[in-house]
Amino acid sequence: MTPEAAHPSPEAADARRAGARPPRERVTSVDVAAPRTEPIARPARWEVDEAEALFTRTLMRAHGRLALLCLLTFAVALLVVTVGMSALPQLQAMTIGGVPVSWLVHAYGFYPLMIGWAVAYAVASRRLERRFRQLVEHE
Amino acid sequence: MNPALSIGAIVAVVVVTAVIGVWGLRISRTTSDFFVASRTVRPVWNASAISGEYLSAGTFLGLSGLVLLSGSDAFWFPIGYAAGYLLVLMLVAAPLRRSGAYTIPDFIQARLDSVLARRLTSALVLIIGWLYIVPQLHGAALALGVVADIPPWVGATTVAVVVGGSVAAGGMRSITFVQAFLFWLKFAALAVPAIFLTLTLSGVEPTIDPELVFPQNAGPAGLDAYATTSLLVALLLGTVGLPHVLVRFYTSPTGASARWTTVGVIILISGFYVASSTIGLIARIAAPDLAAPGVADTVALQLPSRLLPGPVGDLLTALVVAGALAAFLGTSSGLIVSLSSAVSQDLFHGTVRSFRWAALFCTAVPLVVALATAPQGLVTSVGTVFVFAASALSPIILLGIWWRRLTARGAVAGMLVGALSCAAALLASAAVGPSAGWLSSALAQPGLWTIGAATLTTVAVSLVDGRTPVSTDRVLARLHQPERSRARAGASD
Repeated sequence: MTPEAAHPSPEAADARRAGARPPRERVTSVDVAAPRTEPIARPARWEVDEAEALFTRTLMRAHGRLALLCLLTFAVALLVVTVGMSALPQLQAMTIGGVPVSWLVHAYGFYPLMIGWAVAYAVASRRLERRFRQLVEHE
Repeated sequence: MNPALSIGAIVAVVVVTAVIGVWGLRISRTTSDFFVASRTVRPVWNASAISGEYLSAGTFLGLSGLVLLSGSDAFWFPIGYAAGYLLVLMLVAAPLRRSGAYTIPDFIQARLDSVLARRLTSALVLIIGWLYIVPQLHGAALALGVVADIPPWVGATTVAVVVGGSVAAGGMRSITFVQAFLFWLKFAALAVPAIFLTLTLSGVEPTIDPELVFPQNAGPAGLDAYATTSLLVALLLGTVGLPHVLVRFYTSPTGASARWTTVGVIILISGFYVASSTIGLIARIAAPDLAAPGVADTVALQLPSRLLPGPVGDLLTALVVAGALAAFLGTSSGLIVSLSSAVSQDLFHGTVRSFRWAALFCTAVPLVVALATAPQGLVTSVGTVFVFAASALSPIILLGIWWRRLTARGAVAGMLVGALSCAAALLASAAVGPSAGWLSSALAQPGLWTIGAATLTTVAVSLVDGRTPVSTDRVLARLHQPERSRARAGASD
């Protein structure tokens, strides 16, 4: 027998029915302002100490650099494929199943690029954050 | 084609959507569930849900229509829509998740500590959302008209009622499940017919003349550099500014998981666009007679029964109809969730009851507009919304995350310049027409200069103003620090 069963209050009954989950909250009847679970508009203090501000700034710059690097290289790749498919007449002349290769490149060629860049960025930014986290924990 | 089968498919989608919505309501326990699904949605589900919300009638029906109508230029739209998520991934996803805000207006207010900036953002979010819902309702009218000769207002009203009702009932938690289901339905509804039709076509002798079906000047060789660049920039940045895209990241547990969710979204929507583009290529081969404005957008619905007469074609048509309906339902319900959140938080302090009233209000307005206007090309109408979002909201969101010296006045000025110049350009474009050379091109694809103008205004006014909010350092620390190190920083307070 669970401890709740010994004290048969409504809350306990709810909790028991729900198992480990939180008791059900009747959202329609309790019509109060939604609590913002992670308030941001009113932080506890306005000032941040010098060290933390510097830390944030460095982290921001590192992340910003990574994002810019990825975006610029992606733009270059995009440009290369675009110029290639529109400027090479051989691609228009060559056909697969009746469809010119240049059309096929335009229809399908860009998505593998995006997926490649997305995965590369996600891995790199995870590594970056891990490095910064270690920096904080070493202090 | 067989209307009974298609109507059966429509009814099935509506019923399943309602059932999942009600099931979601049963496990929607708290107010936080209602608004952000308690921030516990796993990346795979969240990625499916985001994709389900993002893929609209524009690419489901409109893409193949535009490929048929104007050629390979149409492929830039899905490329831009998908690459937009690359921008979201790299610049927005994790910081916005860490901001902890519910909506874009919440974020702007927290960052800039200004009620005026918040109100302006809310107004823009509302305009963008409504503009986006109208083509969805037009698409619904078009699709139902093709399959069963139903009058247009019935289709638009059906979608509006189902969406408004299910959002008002279930909130974010149930919508997440509904969206995830709708994504896989949409994907199957294009991928399965694409496979069947490709096999059918490759079975017959190639009788087509590539020069005629895929003429060089309609292909990649006939590229207009300014128009293409401007469109791509607008589509990429527009994704950042869409209200229903960002609200989804608030449901991820951490910033890092928001990032992996975005990678998942890019993979899923790429798969969808590959299927959709395939239908477009097949349309050029098999249905050149449908290449007329207004009719072209129905080609995805008509192809199966043309190429595969008989029961197989009928079944595939029913599947495409179900997928099209999923596209209208998915996008409009996602939009209405985020619009209702914004309206209820702004005007009614965010209670659940006000959320429900806001949902009905936010559905009714675009329905009236949709009933009063005639449908344009679906993919270009949706593209226009992206251009507007990219001009009005994206520069402020990006600068708010990455630039410490942004001020409230700068943001307000930038939003006004972006929104007004973009709206003026699009209206002027309709008046000037396509024959005025570079001016027509600059007005029809204004993204490049309106985004530039909005960004420059924001930066210039912010620098002159110089009154950065006192909370800037605090908020930026919150946006950019990984969760665990933030907890540590908090513990040392």
